[in-house]
Parts: sequence; C-alpha cells; structure tokens
Amino acid sequence: MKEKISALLDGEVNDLEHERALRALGSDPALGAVWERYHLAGTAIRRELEIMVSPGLADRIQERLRNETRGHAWVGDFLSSRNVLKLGAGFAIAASVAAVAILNLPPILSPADAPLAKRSPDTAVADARQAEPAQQNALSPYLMQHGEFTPAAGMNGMLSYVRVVGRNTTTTNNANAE
Amino acid sequence: MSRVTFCRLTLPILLSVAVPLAQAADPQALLMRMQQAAGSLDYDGTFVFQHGDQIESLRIIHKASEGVMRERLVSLNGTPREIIRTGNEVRCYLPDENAVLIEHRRTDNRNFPALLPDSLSVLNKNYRVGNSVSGRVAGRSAQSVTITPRDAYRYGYHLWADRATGLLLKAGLIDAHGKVIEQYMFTQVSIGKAIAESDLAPQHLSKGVVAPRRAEESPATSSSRWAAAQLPAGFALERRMQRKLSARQQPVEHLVYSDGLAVVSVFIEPVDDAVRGALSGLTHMGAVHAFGKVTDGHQVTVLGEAPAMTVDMIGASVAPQP
Repeated sequence: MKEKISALLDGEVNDLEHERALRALGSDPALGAVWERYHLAGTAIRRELEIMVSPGLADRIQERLRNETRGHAWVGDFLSSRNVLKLGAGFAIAASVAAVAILNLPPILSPADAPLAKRSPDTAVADARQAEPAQQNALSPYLMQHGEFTPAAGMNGMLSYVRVVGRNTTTTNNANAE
Repeated sequence: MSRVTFCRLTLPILLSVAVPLAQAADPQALLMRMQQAAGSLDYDGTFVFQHGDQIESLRIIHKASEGVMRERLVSLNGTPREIIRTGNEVRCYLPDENAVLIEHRRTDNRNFPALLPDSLSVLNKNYRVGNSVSGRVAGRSAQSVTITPRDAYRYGYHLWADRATGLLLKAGLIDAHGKVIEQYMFTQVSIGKAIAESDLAPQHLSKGVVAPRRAEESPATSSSRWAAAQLPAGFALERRMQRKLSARQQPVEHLVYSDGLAVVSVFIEPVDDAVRGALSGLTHMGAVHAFGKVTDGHQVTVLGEAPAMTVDMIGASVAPQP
C-alpha cells in the first residue's frame, strides 16, 4: 500500500487506484501517518517547506472539526459525506494549516494549554522572576546596546539581537491577563 | 588589564588567518573558523529560538560579501519585529510599540569578545573547550564543540558549525545542571547565494512610526567614577563608554564586563521620568538575567547571558567609586 501512496503523491495513479488509495488512507491511521511523512518529505525535498507541523496534525484538526462544528449543519453534512474521506486522507500539511485559518478555528494549542511564565523556576533562576512585558519593553534599548557584545556575536550575528525581536507576544498578553 | 584588552581588541587582523580544513576537528580551530565564517559569508535562513517553554521562529538574511556587514532579522511569528543592521547602524522596528530604535555599534567590524588565539587562553581559564563530534543540522553536515564552565558563575555552550563553511548552525546555552536553557537552530539555510536588495529592506513599517532622534556618536572615553566593586572570578572590565540610547535625553554610561566569553553589561544613567522605576530587582528573559536599582540618583541596569548569581553580584555592587 505504501507504494500506492507514493504513486498517489506523484500523481501516477488512475482514477480507480486514486479512489482506492484515498479510501485506504481514510480508514487506516497508520497509513495516514505514512502519507503525512511522505508528503512532508516531498515538500522538504522540493524546498517548499516553510512551516514544520507536528505529526498527527491532520488527525487533531479533524477531531477538532468534529467536536467544534457539530452545531453547524453544513459542516456536519460535509463531514458525513464521502468528501470526508478525501478530506481526511488528503489533508496536505500546507492545506491543513490553510484550513485552520479559513475555518477560523481556535489555535490547536489554546492559551489555557500553553505553557506560561508561571512555570516553577529552576535553580539557575531561583531568585529571578520572569520579566514582565513592560519590563521587557524597557529592557529593549539596553539589549540593543548589549547585543553588540554578546558572546555569540563573534560567531554569528543572528544571536546578538534575537532577544529583541524574538519575544512571544502571546505570552506577553497572557502575562498581562494574570 | 587594559593592555591585554587593547591587544585583544586590536588583533582583528588574525581574523584573516586562514584555518586549514584539516584542523577543523580541533575544537579551538573550529571556534576560530566559526568566527571567520560569521564575518565573511552571505546566507539566508530560518531558525528557531527556544527559551524556557517558549519557541520562536525567525528569519535571518546576512550579507558580508561587499565589505559592509548587512543583516536583517525578522520574527516570523507574533509581532513582526525586525532588526536591520547596515555596517555600524542597527535599526530595530517594533510595530507593537510603534517605534524604531536606532543604535550605533561601537566596535566597528571587530567581533567581541574575539575568539582569537590570544583570548583563547583567557577563555581556557574559565572554560574547558571540549571535543568536536560530527552530526547533521538543517540538512547539512556539522561539527560540534562544547564549552563547559569551570564554575557556576557562567553558562556552558554547545555549538554546531557547518562543516563546509564554518557557519554556526546551532547553539545551546547550558546551565550548571547540564540543562539547555536556551537554544537556536537553523531549520533551513542557504549559504553563498546572491542576496537580493529587497531582502535587506524592512517589510513591516507600521503607520505613524516614530523615529527617535538619530543617536549621535559620543566620546568613548569617560571620566566616570562608577564601577562594580565585586566581580565573580574571571570577570574583568573590558570596556567603558558613554552612549546615547534611543529616546533618552542624556547619555548613558555603559560598562562591559567579560570573562572571555560571557558578557555582562552595566548601564548607569541619571534618574529621570523616562527611566524611573523601569527595572527593579532581579528578573530574567530566557537566559538573560537583568538587575535594576536606583542608587545615588542614578538608575543602574545590569544584564547579560549569565546565571542569576553573576548578574546579581555585579548589579548589587555597582556604586560610585570614591
């Protein structure tokens, strides 16, 4: 069956085989995972890979769709029709992300699930609390100046200013809410 | 001390010393090679930056082939903050704060602290440079080098360099318990390909961005009386300068303490409304610890990629000298 999936990805199947392969994919989670891996590999090899998605995303999105859209008749019809087979099997990695956006679902990892700055500090930072957003903003000009001298600056410029731009806004918002 | 510093900082000529590929397996040679690569290669890549429980994705475009170091760093998730570096000028576009910060690097094209043979001996006093192993990062053949601290006043480093070019592909900061507290890793990078001009231009200029007055160059010398009275073993004052920070009326004094690798910056400025109470006590952002206090009418801000106890010790001891 794996050969068939490979052929399917390469568009080297006729209509009947196409239908069979999709059916098999829809009914077998293991094959679904294989399909995801093949697709990811193909995308990566073609250097089209701009996003990395964790394995099983298609399943989680489908699950979410089922749980969250029960109230919507059209979605229910859509999910129960044979289109689901194609949807489930053919959830391309890029397409799945697009679908999340189009359907305006909440993020897979909701803020409530997301690990926050509240985590217990390890011993290395036992005396230090996570800087609050206002403090982080206040520190930006200093970090800019300091960035010139960071140890890694001598090895690769990417590390010297990363902290100024690489601050997660979501966490900032969550921290505000607390 | 200052003579040692002077020598170390004025030996960039050694940057041009070619390290034969055959020597690359030697960890110290690999460190030198990484530094040369950073200063001479053109590259464009995407990397992840993980700190604590958080992970960010960023893109970096770096152009060094025309003599002037140009670089654009942009956050790919959340607010599209950008850093554009052109030679010594560094512009930071912060759409969420509706601001552009403009700073000027003071060290020209010299890297600091330079991992040159001269400073490797300094490095060896505080760290052990470990064996190189082979691996693979971002689809490229890579070699690693570990830098292990000799005490708990500094972090360790695990670095991976591209075998073909020496470019740093992955770096991790490691605490005293061997735990990775922060790491960066390229997921994809193209090295040596032509960089388009448009790739180095800011992409996310928000409306109404306020560009603060261009920071003026100020004398590097200072008659300051400020200093840290207590330093962790191995740390020494490397630089002392007066700087203009964005959105500050008055110059800020910047002291740079280093142990040959880790760097802790101390900023001293008169307390005014812009800085009052900005930071008090010890906080951290990932591996960066920061300490703030007001003493003798001045705001003291200390920060660096160093353990809490190091930043705390330096920060607590900063005072005007008699």
